[in-house]
Amino acid sequence: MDNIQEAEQLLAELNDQIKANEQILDQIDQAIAVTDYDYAQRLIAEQKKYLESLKKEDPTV
Amino acid sequence: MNEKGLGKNIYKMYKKEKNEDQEEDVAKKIEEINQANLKATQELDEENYNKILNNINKRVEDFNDVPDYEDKTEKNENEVVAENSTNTIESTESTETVMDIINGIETEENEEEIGDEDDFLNKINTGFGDFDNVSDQDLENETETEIENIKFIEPIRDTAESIPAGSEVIKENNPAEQNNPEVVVNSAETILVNNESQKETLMTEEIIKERLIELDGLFNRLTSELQAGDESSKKGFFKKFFTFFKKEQARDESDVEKISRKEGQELIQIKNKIENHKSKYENNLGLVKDILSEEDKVIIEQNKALEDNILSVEQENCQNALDDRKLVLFEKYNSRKKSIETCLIGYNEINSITSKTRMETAIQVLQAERAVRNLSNDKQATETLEALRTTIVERLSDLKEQQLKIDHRYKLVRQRIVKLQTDYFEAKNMLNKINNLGKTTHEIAKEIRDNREEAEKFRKEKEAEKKEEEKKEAERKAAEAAAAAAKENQDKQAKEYDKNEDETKDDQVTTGNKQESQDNQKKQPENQGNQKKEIDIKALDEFLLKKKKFNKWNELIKGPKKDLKNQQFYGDFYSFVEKRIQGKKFKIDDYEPGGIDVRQLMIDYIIEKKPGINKEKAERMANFRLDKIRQRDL
Repeated sequence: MDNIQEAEQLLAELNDQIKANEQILDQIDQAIAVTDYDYAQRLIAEQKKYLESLKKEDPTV
Repeated sequence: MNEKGLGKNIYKMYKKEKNEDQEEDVAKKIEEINQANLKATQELDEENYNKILNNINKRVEDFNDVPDYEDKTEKNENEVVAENSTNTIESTESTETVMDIINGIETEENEEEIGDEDDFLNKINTGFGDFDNVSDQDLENETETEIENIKFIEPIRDTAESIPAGSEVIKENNPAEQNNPEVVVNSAETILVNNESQKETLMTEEIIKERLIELDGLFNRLTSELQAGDESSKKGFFKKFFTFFKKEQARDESDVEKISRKEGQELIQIKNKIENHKSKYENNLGLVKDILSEEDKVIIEQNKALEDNILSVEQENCQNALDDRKLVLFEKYNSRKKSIETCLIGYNEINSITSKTRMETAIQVLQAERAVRNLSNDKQATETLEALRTTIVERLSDLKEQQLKIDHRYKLVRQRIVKLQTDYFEAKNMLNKINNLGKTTHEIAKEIRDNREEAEKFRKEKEAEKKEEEKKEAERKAAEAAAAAAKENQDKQAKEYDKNEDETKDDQVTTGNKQESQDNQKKQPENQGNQKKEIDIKALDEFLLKKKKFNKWNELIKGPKKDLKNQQFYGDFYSFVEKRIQGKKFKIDDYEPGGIDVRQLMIDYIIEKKPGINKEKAERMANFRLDKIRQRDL
């Protein structure tokens, strides 16, 4: 009886952990994508600003 | 007309003829060069430029070689024609300069030679052949002097080079430049530099356009890739992305290098020049100050101030030119550093969540594995248990798969963090490089020293603040401990006071003897100590264990009649015990609570009698009473 109770409890814990992990994995993937996107976007914007200013520096361009 | 006047007239005629011939030749030559120059402005071919430049140099050399001028005129003319047929180039500016130079030389020569009639007479005495030689020599010497003048002026023009490229145009009204053929070379070089600069500008423009197009492409792809959410495609994008930015970084590094070599070096040079000028002046003045008059000193001071002013203006111009070049790069890398910091915060948060989940999952897996092993060892497991075990194994397998995914994400985020940290240090290094542009080694070393000193000062301040906080915290804790001790002591005193008061009240109720009660109250402090000392708990416990039946206790509790002050208490206690056992099968005389139970009964009685009294206090009072019985029984 004790073993069954322990096994049931363990199974419940496993299920909870799996469910929580699924959610966390989704969150992590989303967070990584957002941060990657943010970083790339920032770098591109900065680079664009820099190149535009290089163009402006030369009046013949 | 005397001999002198005749000679003068002959000389004038001779010079006039000579000038006319020369002017004709020069006019032709200039016309040809002019045409070549016009073409030169339209061509950007470097090779042709070099050829033309060589030709110009050659022709200038010919012009310089004045004694052979007349002989070579025809040859030069042919050369120029030949060159025009094969080559191109040269500007109108340089043509004008050549003309000006030649006119200048001729005019000066004429004025000087015609003006010096005595010299001419001396020369005419020795014949016209000698005159020709002397005149040509003079002319050559004069030309050399002019070249020296130009060379002397060169450093001044160098200074003017701090003005942006493209403005390197020879001033037409500068007589030194007009009078020297070397200027022709400079002019051609200037054209070449300008055209190279234009060419470079055009190339730069094209390159910037290409870079912008590539960047726009990256941005568009970034948007679409991340919307699509395809992992492999995203990976492909980031590969391109990082390759692009690696190239851009290399370009920036190269730009910084260029700035360092040009504007940076110019500024360093002018700084060194100022330093040298200062030390040179101080050294020289130190040597001669004793022999100089006050007036001379003032003049020297004025000269120095003037030179200082010129040099400081020059330094300011160099600094401004450098700052202009630095600014864009500085802004870019400063902004990048901030972006990286922001993104690092984001990745660190993700890393924290991932690490926590990773740890929890690992623990869960270990626990589940151990449990499954235990269940497997159970030979008498029921079917239900076996089914549970199977399900657990399946779920454990799912969890392990998740563990792998979490590990993968963990590594991914760690990689991102490491990459960003590298980017951060690169950006910081670039900022340092940009910041150090135009600084002398001495200045950089000084800056490093200052920064270290500042950091050390900051560290010491922080340490002092920390020590101060620790000291305050210790003081606060000590004060709290003292307050707590004082409160505890107060509570203790209050409790003791309550206890004695209760006992006093009991006594008052029992005896009705007010005086005795007052005496007891007065004796409270010493009684408190005495009572505690008097009660021997061990002896009391032994005493209580010996007494079995309550009737025995009854006799003891009632005690002798003369002990009036306790009679009421014990009588009431007896009634209380009697009530307690009411309804039970036995009578109070047969009741066997046991000695220890008697104590408990007395505690209960005291608590009932004095609602609100705590158990501890009640126990103390019970012990006190029972010990009195014990002492009486001895």
